[in-house]
Amino acid sequence: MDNAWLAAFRVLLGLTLLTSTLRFIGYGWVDSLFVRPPFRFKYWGFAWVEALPSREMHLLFWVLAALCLMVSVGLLFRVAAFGLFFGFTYLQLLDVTTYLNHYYLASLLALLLAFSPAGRYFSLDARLRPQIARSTSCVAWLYLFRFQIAVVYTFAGLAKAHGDWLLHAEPLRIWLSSRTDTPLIGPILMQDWAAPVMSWGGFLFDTSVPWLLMLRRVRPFAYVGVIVFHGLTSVLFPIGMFPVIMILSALVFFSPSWPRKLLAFLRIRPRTEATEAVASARLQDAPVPRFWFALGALYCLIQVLIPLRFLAYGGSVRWHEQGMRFSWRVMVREKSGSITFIVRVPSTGRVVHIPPHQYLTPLQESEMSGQPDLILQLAHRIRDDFAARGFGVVEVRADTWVSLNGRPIHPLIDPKVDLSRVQDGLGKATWIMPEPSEPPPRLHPIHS
Amino acid sequence: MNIRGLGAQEYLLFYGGFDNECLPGSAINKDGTWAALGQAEIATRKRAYAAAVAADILSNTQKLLQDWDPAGGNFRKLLTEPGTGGSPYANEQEALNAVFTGLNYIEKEVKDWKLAIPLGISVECVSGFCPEAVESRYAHVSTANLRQNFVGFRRLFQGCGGKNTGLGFDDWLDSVGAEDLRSRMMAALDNAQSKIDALDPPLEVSLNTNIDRVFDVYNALKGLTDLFKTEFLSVLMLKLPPSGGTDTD
Repeated sequence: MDNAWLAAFRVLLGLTLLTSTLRFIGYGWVDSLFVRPPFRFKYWGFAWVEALPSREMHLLFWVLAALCLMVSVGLLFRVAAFGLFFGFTYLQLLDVTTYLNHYYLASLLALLLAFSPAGRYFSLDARLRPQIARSTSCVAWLYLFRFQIAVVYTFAGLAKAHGDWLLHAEPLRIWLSSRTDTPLIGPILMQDWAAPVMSWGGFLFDTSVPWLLMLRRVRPFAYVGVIVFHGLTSVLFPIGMFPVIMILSALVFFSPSWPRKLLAFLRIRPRTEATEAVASARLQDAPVPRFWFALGALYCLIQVLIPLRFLAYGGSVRWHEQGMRFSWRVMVREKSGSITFIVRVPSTGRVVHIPPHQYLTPLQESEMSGQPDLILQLAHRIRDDFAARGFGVVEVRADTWVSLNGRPIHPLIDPKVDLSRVQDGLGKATWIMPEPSEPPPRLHPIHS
Repeated sequence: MNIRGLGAQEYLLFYGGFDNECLPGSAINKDGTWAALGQAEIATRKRAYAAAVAADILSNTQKLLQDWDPAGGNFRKLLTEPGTGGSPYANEQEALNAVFTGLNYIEKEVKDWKLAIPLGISVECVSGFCPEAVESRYAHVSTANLRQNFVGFRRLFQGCGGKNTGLGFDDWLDSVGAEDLRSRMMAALDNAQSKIDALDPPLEVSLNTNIDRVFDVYNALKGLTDLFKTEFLSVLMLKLPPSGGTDTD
């Protein structure tokens, strides 16, 4: 199969991730997110991952920027791509509160690229070492990338299949009400029907677009829809490079020769070269070796099982958050919490109230306040701090009041449970309170 | 010595002693240079320091007035017309976030500092009960300060007109259909108000004679801030300060 699509994907993804990395450096997020926080929330099983000192952390970002550029131009491609994967993944493992679905996607795409033959065509490596150059690749790569992008869209859509989103148009109703001053579309967002229409539109788009992109006749129109949808979300919400990543990722559904055809259309390369490359590709497709086939199948199985793990816990994943991360639940809830840790020193009977801001940055506190496992982590840190100060064994409970999609506040964690004795794990957390049963309030934009 | 502001002024004007707050091992105490000054000289120097602090406070106050003066910085215009003519706020939501930021002192400064520390329920109080840590222990106006803090909060929340009339965040809640939340926040405000009114001034008296009343104020403010940081923030899409700035999804 023609390798042109993969080379184009490599170039575009490399440039997108380069832009993302430079944004981190330019906006000062390296310091605010990775250097300054005195406490970090760890992923289960990855507590051993430690942050680099300030100078080395800044250097890492510049190294990542260089790796992004190397991936884009295809220089020392495989080394650069693996370096990018490990670097991005390391940054994400440092603190749970910086988790974003599109950072996770960036890591996965970097991993897939690293294993792929993306560096063998239209690259400096191919120019410098012609013996590695290949204008074709196995069709399995195309299917794998399409599968990955289809998984993102499908599960993002399924994550919206619940009453809050479809029946009550929350949290969109809340979010859009603050965007009514957006140029051109602001007056539309002020209408009562805007949030329900956009909620259903988002659900139908996410669940249908990968299938529409696979249909040749519909594909161009579906792709216009991709651009419009992600362009709109980019205007309305501060979601960084996510729209760009999805717009370029959707290109994998086009014909593998789409870059050649585009260049031919733009009269940059002669039409005959495109035709010859396509004809050549049809003759050279080879079966996938069993080992790699099995590995690819395992990867696909994992990509399906991980987003579905929430089913093992029951209840509302948007409330208890067990199974929330790595599940493509993009922009599905508005959650805010007021948390106070209540420490009791049994030896003296003294009670101390610990507000989270004594340990956390505002962003960390905001993220923690709706995620029970992070509240548990901070409770353990408070326990350990009191022990280190000579208080001995203490009890740590949490007073947690959380609002989900604008609902009245409810306790998130059982206030009677001593969290200092609770261990985190993969099992169902019995110390999390049941979700609120009432629907979200019926809000509306301010009418002028 | 470079302590300024109203806290320094309170000490200089209301503390009648002739000792100092420095550690016994500090040079002026260890070498006896402070004691050698004598009470008259100490009083003279304290008056001079108070005058310098007052001048500094006056200068900062005038800068603040200048920033708000329509002929000067005209901050009212910058706040009410975001996205235009030099305003630091790109849109209305950012400007409202800034006002919301101003409301946040009721939790950090009032609840967690002015009340929790003297009550001994903060780690900042090592002994477990710290009445000496009240805000104005020399001028004995800690309760009056609390009351004024709350007056300011209510004015921002309800409106700056007489009896808290006028445009406020409560009107915004009504206009988006959150009347129930507004009612509950008003109830929490009234509850906190009644608890503050029940305090014996100054605060250190209540701490020593009727500590339950101080806990009542703390708990009432907590009930208010629990709503403030959750439903109020979500429904109006406000952001807690400083947000740190980052992408979301």
